[in-house]
Amino acid sequence: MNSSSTLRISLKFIIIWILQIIVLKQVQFLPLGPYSYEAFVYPLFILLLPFGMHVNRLMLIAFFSGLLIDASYNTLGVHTASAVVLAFARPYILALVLPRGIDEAFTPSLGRLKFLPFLRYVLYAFLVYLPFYYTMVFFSHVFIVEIIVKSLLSFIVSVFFTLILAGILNGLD
Amino acid sequence: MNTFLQLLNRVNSRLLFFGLLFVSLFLIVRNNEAQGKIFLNSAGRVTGFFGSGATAIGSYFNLRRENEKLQQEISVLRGQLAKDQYNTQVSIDTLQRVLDSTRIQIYKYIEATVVNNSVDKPKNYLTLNRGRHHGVKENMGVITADGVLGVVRYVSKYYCIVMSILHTDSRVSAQIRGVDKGFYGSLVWNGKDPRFMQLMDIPKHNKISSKEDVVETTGFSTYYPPGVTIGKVFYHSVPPGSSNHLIQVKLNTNMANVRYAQIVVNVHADEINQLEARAKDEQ
Repeated sequence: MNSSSTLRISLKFIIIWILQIIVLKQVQFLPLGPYSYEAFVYPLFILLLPFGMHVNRLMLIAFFSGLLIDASYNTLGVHTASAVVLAFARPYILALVLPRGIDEAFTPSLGRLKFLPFLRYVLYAFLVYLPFYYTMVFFSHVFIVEIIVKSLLSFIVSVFFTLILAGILNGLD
Repeated sequence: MNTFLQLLNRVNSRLLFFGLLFVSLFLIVRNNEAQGKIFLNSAGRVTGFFGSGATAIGSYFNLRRENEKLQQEISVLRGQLAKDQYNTQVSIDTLQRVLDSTRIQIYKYIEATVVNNSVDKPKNYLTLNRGRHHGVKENMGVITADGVLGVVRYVSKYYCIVMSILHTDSRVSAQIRGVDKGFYGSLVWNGKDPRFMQLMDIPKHNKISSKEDVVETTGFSTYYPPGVTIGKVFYHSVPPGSSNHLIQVKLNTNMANVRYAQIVVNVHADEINQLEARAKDEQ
């Protein structure tokens, strides 16, 4: 990891953070009955880290970026835990979606993975991230219905905004 | 920085994952009110569960001490029973009004634990963990919660050896319980089955019913207080040519696994024995 890739990763994080905190945090989506939900694009930051990165470094970066997001959401620990789980799961997800023979030095991006594999990558990631995130938010099996419904609703908007953001960030690589 | 990254790659990923997850969960329950309350509630339930489990296990290990304490209490309480006290009043108060100053103790009890036991020999002995130090003397009777055990034969400082009732030389003065019964004989052991003893010398004209009649001590010796239950009549017969019943008595106490016993201290034993010795001298 040279300094230019570090710079690029930091730049990505700033763009993602701005969209997440300055824009999406302020947006109130139309609630479905009693179930309000949010859109999360910041997990994309973990997904876009280079392929070859060791899972330990991945988890550590996820931990601290999660802390930064939590600081803005005033939910200390919730995003942090979810991000660490996603980082831990990332190698397993990549093994599922990665086309054979891809150069491990590359950074995953929409352009490099082509649309469908990248879509599957994002879908699997949110499938891991959102149920765990809402479990951390409600923190009790009593709210199992809320956890499932909110995860599904948030899944739709999150994937949508994440794909748009991935398209924007594609120009950075 | 590079050495740190190299070191980081060597850490077990799963360990690091759970470590970071643990830190995150700690942050969640410490900094978020709702999650913190849920956590405290569940944690209380979990610690409550383990706490009550630990108490249950602890009390199991305390059972032995509790048993000993209960034995001591039984000894004290037995000593307070009216039948164990000698009424110094000359004429018996028909209203049975008990005045403490008119009663003095005859029987006291020393609780003891059986430390050695046998039932399989023709002459059986038990060892109890009480001796001269505790006031045990030779020729004291020993009873259990539901029967009699034997008579103290040898005493050391802290232990005594009891001649079991399961001893072919043992004789217990016993009677059939009941207002109209009360005929007595001596209870002996034929050395065969440790569950049964034989009640001898009861004339055959006395009515006895098996499985109903209770055999108890008479109190005609300084060994046992009167009315201590020994067992039940198992079956009875009159052997041909005999004028007495042969009664099989099923013992209440399981002699093979008896654990706790009480040594009977007859406070008046010396007085009675001296008196009887004088009467014997005159014969």
